[in-house]
Amino acid sequence: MGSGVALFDYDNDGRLDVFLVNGAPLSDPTPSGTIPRKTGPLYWNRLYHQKKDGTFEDVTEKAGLQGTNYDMGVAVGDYDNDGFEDLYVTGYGGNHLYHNNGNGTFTDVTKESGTTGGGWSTSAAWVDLDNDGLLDLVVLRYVKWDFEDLWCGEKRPGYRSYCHPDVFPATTPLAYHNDGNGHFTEISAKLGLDKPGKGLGIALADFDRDGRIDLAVANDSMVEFLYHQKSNGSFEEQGLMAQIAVDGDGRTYAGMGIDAQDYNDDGLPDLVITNLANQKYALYRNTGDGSFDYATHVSGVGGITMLHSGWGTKFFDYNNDGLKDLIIAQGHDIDNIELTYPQLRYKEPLLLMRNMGRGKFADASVSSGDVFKEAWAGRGLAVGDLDNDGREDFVVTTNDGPAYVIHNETRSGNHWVTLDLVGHKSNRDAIGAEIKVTTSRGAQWWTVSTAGSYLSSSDKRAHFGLGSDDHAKSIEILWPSGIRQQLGEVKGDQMLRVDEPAK
Amino acid sequence: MSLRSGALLNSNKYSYEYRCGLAASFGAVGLFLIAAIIATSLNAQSSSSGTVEQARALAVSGQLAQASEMLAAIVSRDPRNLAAWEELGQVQLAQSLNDDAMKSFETVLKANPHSPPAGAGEVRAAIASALADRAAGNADRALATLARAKGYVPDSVELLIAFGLQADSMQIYKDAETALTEAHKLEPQNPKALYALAHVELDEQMMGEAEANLRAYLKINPDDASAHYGLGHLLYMLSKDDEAKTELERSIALQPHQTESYYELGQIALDAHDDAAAKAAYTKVLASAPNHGGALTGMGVLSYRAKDYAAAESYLKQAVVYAPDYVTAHRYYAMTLARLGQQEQSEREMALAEQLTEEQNKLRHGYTLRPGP
Repeated sequence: MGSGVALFDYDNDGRLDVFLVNGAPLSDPTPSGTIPRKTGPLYWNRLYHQKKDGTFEDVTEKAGLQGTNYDMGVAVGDYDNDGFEDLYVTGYGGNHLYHNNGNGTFTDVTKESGTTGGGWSTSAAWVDLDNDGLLDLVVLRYVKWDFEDLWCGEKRPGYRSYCHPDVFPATTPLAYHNDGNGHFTEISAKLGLDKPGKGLGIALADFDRDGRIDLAVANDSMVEFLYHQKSNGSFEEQGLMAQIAVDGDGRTYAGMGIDAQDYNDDGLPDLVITNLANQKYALYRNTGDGSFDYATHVSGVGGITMLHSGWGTKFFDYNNDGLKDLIIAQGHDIDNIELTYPQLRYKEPLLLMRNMGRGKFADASVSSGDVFKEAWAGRGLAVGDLDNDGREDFVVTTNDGPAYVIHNETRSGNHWVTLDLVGHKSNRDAIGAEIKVTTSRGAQWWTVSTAGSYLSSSDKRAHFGLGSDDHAKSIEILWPSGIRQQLGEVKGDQMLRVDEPAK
Repeated sequence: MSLRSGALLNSNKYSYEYRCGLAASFGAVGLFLIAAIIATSLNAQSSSSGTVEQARALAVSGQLAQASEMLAAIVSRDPRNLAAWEELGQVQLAQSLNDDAMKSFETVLKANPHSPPAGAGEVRAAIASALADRAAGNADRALATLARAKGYVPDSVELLIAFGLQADSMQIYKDAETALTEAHKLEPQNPKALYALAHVELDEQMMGEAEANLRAYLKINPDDASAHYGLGHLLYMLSKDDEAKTELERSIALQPHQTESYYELGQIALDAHDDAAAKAAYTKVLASAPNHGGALTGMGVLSYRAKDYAAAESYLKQAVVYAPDYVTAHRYYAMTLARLGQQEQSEREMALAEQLTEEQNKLRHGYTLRPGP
């Protein structure tokens, strides 16, 4: 299943740091009921601090982030609005909330915060569900599962395979309300966020523009979910009616990674969900009437992704042309897939899909560097401008392999602007804020979030390509508090901190 | 030795050479004994041949049971009489006693692996037996029969194709591909082998190879409307919509009275959100096949898109009847019912769609849930 990665600036030195999640050793067979534990440094989670010269140092021990369990996912958010990003780490048999002390160390506050969870947790999202200025936490869980000696696949030596998700029952997500005193209360049932799923990826946006944040969940081999927030603050799962539950043929698929942003610049957040080979990554265009069009075919995404299996994915503008492109970490889930389907590969190169405008994407991998020729069992993926050069980089995790830091060296001559929003009435990370940037080409929108992708957490800063314009004509921010902020003309090629105004 | 005996019995020329060879080998001391053996053998041959001829005559006149009885008696008396075994196999084949025929031919092939009549008989009997098993729903036995025959006649293109098709239908793709590749190697221009191989490659999702073989097939048989449809379908799966349309339109030009190419054109248009073209194509399908589940579903999807939920319900209600295993129909029907406020029926349809999906997943992925070793 792999593990996640977070790109965040834990020490507020202006440079992104990298947190990598790791598992724990398993015996063969592992007795039922076992909660695997990390046994030493080989299995520690790792925090790498970025130094001034752009290299990284391992500060895991100092930070106290070694971890204890078989961990999988990570979500970044400043839940206590103290200006320092905190970490929530998910996994099998219990999750961990690490409070950032602001001095390079973290404290495990799981027990006192009431966020242990349980079962098999995967992706999590920090989001202010009730707009009280405090980030709440939504945690997906995969399936009800234990270490039972099941045999799936053929009996021939070498042909044993991972079991299909249909074999295991779905399970509910968890929703923790931030009570504001370091404590959280689990309220998924109260909020209507308790529909059993096989959740692997979560993304957030106000899809129907009603001023309330909604949640989209990528489920594995069952219908995908769209939790619409109602006016009373509770949620209603509307995936089917919104037409994101299935693909254009009405078929379910193995939803894994997910992201939500407006790729066609119509002011409406769209969705992408990655899946397995022969299913074609699902691209859903928001029509604005509460439903989505399955745009996989018309966008070209279907033809490009037919034989690929995707996990972590993010919309990002890698060439600063003002159009959101797509990056996907790839690789089949079954490590012996070549035995049964010789044309498929367990290890696959990254996929970069360039947004060509007018809703069309093209495969730009081949022309984007040799790194796109390397085959990995890619899983987690997080995006952020590591060296603050105005070009978005990303980090990918792989199964049984190293993590890869991909430095963006695209030469485009295009301009950019990166906004670091600081909420005051809203949550400090401004998660859920909507930003509209207008250039001579038109407007583009971005929803601030660290969630999306797969098991991973991306830089919270909002990055915009300005194309050939050296400035943005205007920037408009709709904060989660409902406050609207107009910035007027903004010079390009800069990182700009924007504080939420009082009104 | 048994192999050489077969030659001795079947040809006077070989008998002569064989006798000379034996005489040369054994020298004067053994000549008497050898002469005695040969005399016995020739007497038996003469006697058996005559009866085999009689049996053949009976068979030709349609008296198969009598012929069979006569031949059975011969081989019972003389199990080494390969001519009788071969004739018995032919008679059993004519009687549709395919398994018995295979045993008879295999007796000959054990002694003489390169006997063309026995090889041909074995292939015919095996294919007939497999077809009967398949019709009776016993696919495993059909495959086992073909595999057994393949052991005796490894270079029969016809048998390799039959085995490949059977294995493909059972989703044993690797073995199917191996057999059909061998058939293709033996007869590179055999259109059946090319077509079957392309089919397996399509199932294995080896799209490039399947496309190349279908194109090669179409070079040999350029006017095969089905193959143009097949290639169009494949190209559609590869999202090469323009090329797919060309092939499907060619298929229609060759065979205007068909539904599937029109249906596929409808699907391409539906995906491209060209709803008018999709509707036109589905309408053509339904004009000649009003119960076409796929086209009814397509019309339902178009109506759903147009938010004409009453029309969608009408189409999809029929679609789930005529295509009860088509998940798309059930899912869109469920969505339509939900739009019409019929929540309970919608949930029922959705549950059905999920059940079908799970069943199809099981079939496709071949997974089973059972304890480890």
